[in-house]
Amino acid sequence: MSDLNRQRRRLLGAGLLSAALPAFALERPERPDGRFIFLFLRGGLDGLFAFAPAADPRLASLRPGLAKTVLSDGQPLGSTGFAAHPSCRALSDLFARRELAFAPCAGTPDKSRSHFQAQDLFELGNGDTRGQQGWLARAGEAWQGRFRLIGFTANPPLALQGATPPADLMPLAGSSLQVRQNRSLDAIMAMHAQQASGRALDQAMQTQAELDAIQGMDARAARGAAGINGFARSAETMARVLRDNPRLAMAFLDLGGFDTHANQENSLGRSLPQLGEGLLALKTGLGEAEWRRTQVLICTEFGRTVRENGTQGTDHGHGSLALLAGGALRQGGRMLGDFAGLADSALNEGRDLPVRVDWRSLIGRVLQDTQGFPLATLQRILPGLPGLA
Amino acid sequence: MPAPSRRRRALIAGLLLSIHLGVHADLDQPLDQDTARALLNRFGYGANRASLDATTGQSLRQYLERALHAPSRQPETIRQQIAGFASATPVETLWADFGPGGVVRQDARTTRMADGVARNESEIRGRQILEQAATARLLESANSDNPGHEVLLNFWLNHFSIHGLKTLNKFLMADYTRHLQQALHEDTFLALLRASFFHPAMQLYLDNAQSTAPESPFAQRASARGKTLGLNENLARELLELHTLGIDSGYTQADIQALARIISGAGIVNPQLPPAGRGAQGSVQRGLFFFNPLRHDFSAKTLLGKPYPAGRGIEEIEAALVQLAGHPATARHIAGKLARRFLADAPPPALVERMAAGFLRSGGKISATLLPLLDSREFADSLRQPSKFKEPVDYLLSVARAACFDQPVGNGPLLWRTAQDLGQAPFMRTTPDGYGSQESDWLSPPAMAKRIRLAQLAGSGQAPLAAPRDAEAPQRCRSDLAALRQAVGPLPETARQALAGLNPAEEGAALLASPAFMRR
Repeated sequence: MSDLNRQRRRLLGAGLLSAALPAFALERPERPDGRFIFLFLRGGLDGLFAFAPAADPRLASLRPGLAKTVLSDGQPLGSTGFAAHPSCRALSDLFARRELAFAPCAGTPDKSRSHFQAQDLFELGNGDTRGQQGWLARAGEAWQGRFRLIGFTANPPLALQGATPPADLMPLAGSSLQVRQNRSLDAIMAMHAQQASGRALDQAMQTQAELDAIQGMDARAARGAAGINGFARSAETMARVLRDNPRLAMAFLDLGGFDTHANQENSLGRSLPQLGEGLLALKTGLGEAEWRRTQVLICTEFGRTVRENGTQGTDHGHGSLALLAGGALRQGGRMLGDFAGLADSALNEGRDLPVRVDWRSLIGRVLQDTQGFPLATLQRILPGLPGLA
Repeated sequence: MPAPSRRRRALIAGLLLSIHLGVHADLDQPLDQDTARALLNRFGYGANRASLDATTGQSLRQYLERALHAPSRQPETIRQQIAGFASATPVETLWADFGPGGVVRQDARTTRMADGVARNESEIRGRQILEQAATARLLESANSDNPGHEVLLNFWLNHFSIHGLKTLNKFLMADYTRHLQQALHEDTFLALLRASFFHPAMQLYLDNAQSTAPESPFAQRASARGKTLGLNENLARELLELHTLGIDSGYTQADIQALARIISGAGIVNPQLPPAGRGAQGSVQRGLFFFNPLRHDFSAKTLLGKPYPAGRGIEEIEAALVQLAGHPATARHIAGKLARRFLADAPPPALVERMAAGFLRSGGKISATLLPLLDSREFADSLRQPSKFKEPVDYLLSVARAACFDQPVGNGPLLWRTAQDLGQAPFMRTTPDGYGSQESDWLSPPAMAKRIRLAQLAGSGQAPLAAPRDAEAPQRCRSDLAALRQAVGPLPETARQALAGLNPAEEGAALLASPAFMRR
């Protein structure tokens, strides 16, 4: 047990921290049906590159450069007509084991093709681009303190903003959050009391104590692991935190680096293997039993143009790939939603994939499967929910 | 200072304040010390002795004038430190070594290590040079005798944000900063827009350097060799969405495509081009920026309803930048962003309208946009009750300036590491929207823990802020409690009670971590 934790237990014994105690700190053998890990790929992943409709004869001419590898060396994804790019080997293996499902045309009604607007729309989950509270924050509140929500980020993403109490945040990169426990800290906490900054500070101290309590945790191991390139490494840390805290029912992580306007084969060729290896690290780290009750939903703000652009990349589009992974998926090894092909008439504005699976119906489905929320609760979390995927 | 007298003084200040409430200082009224301190936090990086003395007695108008038009000078030790950085090497020299076809790559090719080694060497040097450019930016911001200038420069560097780690940008960030700084002295939005657009770093960052009109001779030649070249929408989209009009201002996908065609051919100097390509009629070189007519789309276009006749080269890029810079949506976008940075997270719409009107009336002058803000009652009131949660760099630099009250902040590497850890290092924002300025962007549990830790180190005099580790000078600033109190200013009664009974080191830490000092 670390010093800080010991000190915290002492404080707990004295009844000093009890009022402000985070729900996940005192472990009772209680947990929800499953666990929801949401992974947000920022920048607009080109889903057609990762999982390509190899059976569509138009693919080769629409993407003379970018489809070459998948058409020659792609791994067929069952009988869906899609094939996985070689950089997605880990993902196609999971698919073959029925531990992964994919929706080739998922997304939001975004028309702006702006990263920032589309991300806001996605994270708010209320069908609007404006709002104060993200969908994950509302999902966390639905537990009314029984179970908790954690973000593996330094700053709260919009999806987690507006939660009461604030979501736990545990950045997987950067310095430790250790503050000095002395009289200056008492004065500082007194000055910040009753303010947003004070609530954030309380939360930080409690989260730090939890982090320190995790056996064998080496905070330095995850340092500097921001973005997709460190994902495989940070996934191990994430798995350990989640495994040791059953009351963390929902988790958020975002990864950047998917805005591939140019030389996409290089950049996705590097980042997609990280995504797959990260998922495997998560699966290994959680262990078989935990993996079976875990569902990982992976989404991005929009897809990209069906045609490759003039710089071996793709520009901003509409419908996009969503992935669902987990040890006991009902939909494992299947394609979610339909795919109408790549004919111009089947495309959005003649240039992008359409959206056939609403993002809320994917999120709602996973929330129901893992958290057991009834439909009425799901409709509160995701206003305008058109049904479950 | 003994507590009772401090309390009495605050009481008198409070009485005076209540009398003054509702009467806003006009633009030409000399600032008292408390207002000067508040202004230095809002429109600078916090108070140190020199800036507090220099700003007290100045007027708001003078402060703004100085920020836009006066030079920004550094203490001699800081100037020397920065001059010794490799990032201070003339950009042409760096480019000759590391740019396309540069010496470093060629040397490596002769070693037959593929170009893997060359890339690695170039990459390592590049990261050092980028780190130094960012460190220089922090040192200059922390020590300038013209803090308003540094804040405005950083505002525009962030508005036209560039990720320094992308390819060759590692070598270009000091030069990019210099260009925006020169443009800032011109006091127009158009000058800043042009400075960023015509800089090779922006062309590289948003991929326009590779964008090629499919019908152009360049693309045709490539096509004959079996290579397909074409347009890339990235810069065109962000020009409209982030740099000028703003999202939801009515432009369409067709406008983005038209703009991508207009700006095709804009790129970087590339000595590897065949000589014919470099000297083509209509080609234009400005520093390392290069307009190549052989890649440009010369057809007719329509941008936001305005026709662009066929047959024009770089002139139509200039025309498009003028059109975008003068658009009413741009005026609103820029006015709103300035108001959110310099007043409040949710500024009054009527005030933003007045600022936008100032922008349009003056042909896009920055001063004319900011004067209605500085002259407003809301601004005067907000200096008495600052509500903006300091961004990480605001907080870091104001802590450093308070702790080194009478000395330069000379430990650049420490500033750089801390700014990275706090998540707001210069040139490290990966996305083109720049860092946010809102409380919701920055107030979080981890951020609070990091701030407290910083305050505990700096306030107790333990942070080596004065000089880098390898310097001969002492590393720590001679901080004393009186200086910290001067820097932080009067605290509300509840905060003063919390400080009662602390020793000087503890009080120093608590002052820098006080809620009042985290706001500006």
